[in-house]
Amino acid sequence: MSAFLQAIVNGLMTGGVYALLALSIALIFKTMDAVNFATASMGAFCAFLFFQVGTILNLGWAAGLAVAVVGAVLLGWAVERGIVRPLGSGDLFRLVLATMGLDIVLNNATQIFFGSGVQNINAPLPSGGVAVAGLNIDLTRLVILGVAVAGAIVLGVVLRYTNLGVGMRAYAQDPQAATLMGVPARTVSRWTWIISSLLGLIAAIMVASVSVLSVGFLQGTFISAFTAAVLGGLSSLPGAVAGGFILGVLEALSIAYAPRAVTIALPVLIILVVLLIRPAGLFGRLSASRA
Amino acid sequence: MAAETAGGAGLVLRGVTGGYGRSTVLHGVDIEVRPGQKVAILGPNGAGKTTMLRAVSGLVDVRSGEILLGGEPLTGLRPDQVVARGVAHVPQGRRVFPDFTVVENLRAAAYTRGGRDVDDDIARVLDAFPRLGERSGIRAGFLSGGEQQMLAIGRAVVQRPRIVLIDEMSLGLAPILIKELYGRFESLFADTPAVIVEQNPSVALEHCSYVYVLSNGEVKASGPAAEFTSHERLMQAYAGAVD
Repeated sequence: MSAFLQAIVNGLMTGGVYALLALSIALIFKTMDAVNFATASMGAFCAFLFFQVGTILNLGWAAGLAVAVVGAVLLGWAVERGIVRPLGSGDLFRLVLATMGLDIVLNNATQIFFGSGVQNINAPLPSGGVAVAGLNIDLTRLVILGVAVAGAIVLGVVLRYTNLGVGMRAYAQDPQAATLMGVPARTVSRWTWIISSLLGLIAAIMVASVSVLSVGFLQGTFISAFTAAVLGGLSSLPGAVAGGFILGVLEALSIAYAPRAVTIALPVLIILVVLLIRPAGLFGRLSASRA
Repeated sequence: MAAETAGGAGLVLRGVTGGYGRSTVLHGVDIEVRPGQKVAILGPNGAGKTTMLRAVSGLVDVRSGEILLGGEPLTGLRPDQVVARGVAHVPQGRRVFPDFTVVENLRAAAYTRGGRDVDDDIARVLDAFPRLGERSGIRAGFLSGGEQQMLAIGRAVVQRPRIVLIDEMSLGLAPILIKELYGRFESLFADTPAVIVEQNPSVALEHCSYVYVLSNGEVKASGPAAEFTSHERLMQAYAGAVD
C-alpha cells in the first residue's frame, strides 16, 4: 500500500512539470491552431542561459534568471515576428513544419553556444527529503511542483483578469469576431508566443534541476508534455494541467508495477488510446456553439 | 447616448473597389451616411453587401477608392484600428464568443475603450434585453439565435461607436422577434448613424431614412426610403433596370 501511495506522490511531483510544458503547447494550439514542435528546444536554450550565467559564469542566480527571462521573451517575440507572422494564417502544416525546422536550428545553436557536453547542475533548490506518514517527499521535487502550480495559477489569472488575457481567449474562440471587438491580432499572436516561451523556460529549468543539462535534454519531457496535452484535449488549458498530472501518476505507477518497456512506451500508448476512444481528449469538446 | 457621441460621425465610401484575393467583388461603390442617419443597403444574395461592410472594417482589401469616417480616412487600417476610430460592426451570423458568458461577451467588447463605465453600459444592455439579463451567466453558445443577436447588438452598445454597421440582423429569426430587435436597436442607437444591411426589404425600409440598392458589386439605385416602398420600384432596382 505504501509503495502505491509513494508512486502516486512521485507521479504528482513529476506531473507538475508535464503540466507546465503541456500548458506551453496547449496555449499555442488553442490560440494559433498549431503545435509548436520547437517547444523543447526553445525552453532548453533559455535554460542554458540561466545555468550558464548563474553557475558557470558565476554571476548568481538572480542574474541568470534575469538573462534567461529576457532571452525567453526575445526568443518568443522573434519566432512570432520572424516565422509565424510571415507564414500567415491558413495553412496549419506550414507553421508546424517551420517549428520542426526551428527545433533543429535551435538544438544546433545550443550545441554551438554551450557545447555538446553533459553538465551536472547544482540547482538553487533545497535538497534532501522529509518523511511524511511513511512516505518519502523529495524537497527538490516538492519545490518544483510548487513552481509549476504557481506558474499555472499566474497564467490563469493573466488570461482571466487582464485585458490582454480576455482578448487572447476571445481570439482563440473566433479570431475575426475578436478583431471586430478591437482585439489586435498581432498583439495576441506576439504575447501568445512570448508567454508560451516563458512557460517553456520555467519547465526547462525545473527539469534540468533534477537531471542534467545537455543538448536536447528536454525532448523526452516534451513528448510526455505533448501526450499530456493530447490527453487533456490540446486546446483546453485546464485539460493540459490535468493531463500532466494524470500522465505523471500513470508513469510512476508503471515504474513501480510494470516492466520497464511499458514505462518507455507509455506516452505513445496513451496517445493511441486517446485517439481511438476519445479524440477530443478528456476536457476537449468541439464547441458549445450552435450550428 | 453621451453628448460627445450625439449624431456620431458620417461615413463616406467613394469609388470603393475591392474583394478577396484576385476576385473583385465591389466595383466603384459610392455610399454616404450622414451623422444621425440610418441607411439601408438592400440587394440580392451575392450583391456585395457584406463585402462592403467588411471593406469598411478593414477585413477586405480595398484596391482603389477611399473610405472616410468623420472626414478621416479608414482605408488601409487594420480591423482593430477601425474599431478604435469608432466603428462597431455586428457581423452576419452574430459571431458571439460561444465559450464566454453573456457578461464576458459584453466585457470583451470594451477591449479598446478600456474599463471606464463598462459596467454601466453592460447594465444598460441587460436592461434593454431582459432575456439576456436572465441569462447573464450562461455561455453564449447555449443561447437561442435571437438571444445571440441581442448579445451581438449589446456588444456594439458597449463599444460606444460613432457609427454602427449591422449585417442581416433578421436572418433566421421569427417576424415578431425581428420587430422587437429593430425597436431596441433604434432606441439604443437613437442618435448614432447606422448602416443596416438587409435581405428583408420591408423591415429595413420601415426603419431607415435612406436606401442604397446593391447588385453585382455596384450601386444600382439610391434614394429616400419613401421612394422604395412601392414594390415595383424595388424590383426594378434589384433587376438593375433603374440607373
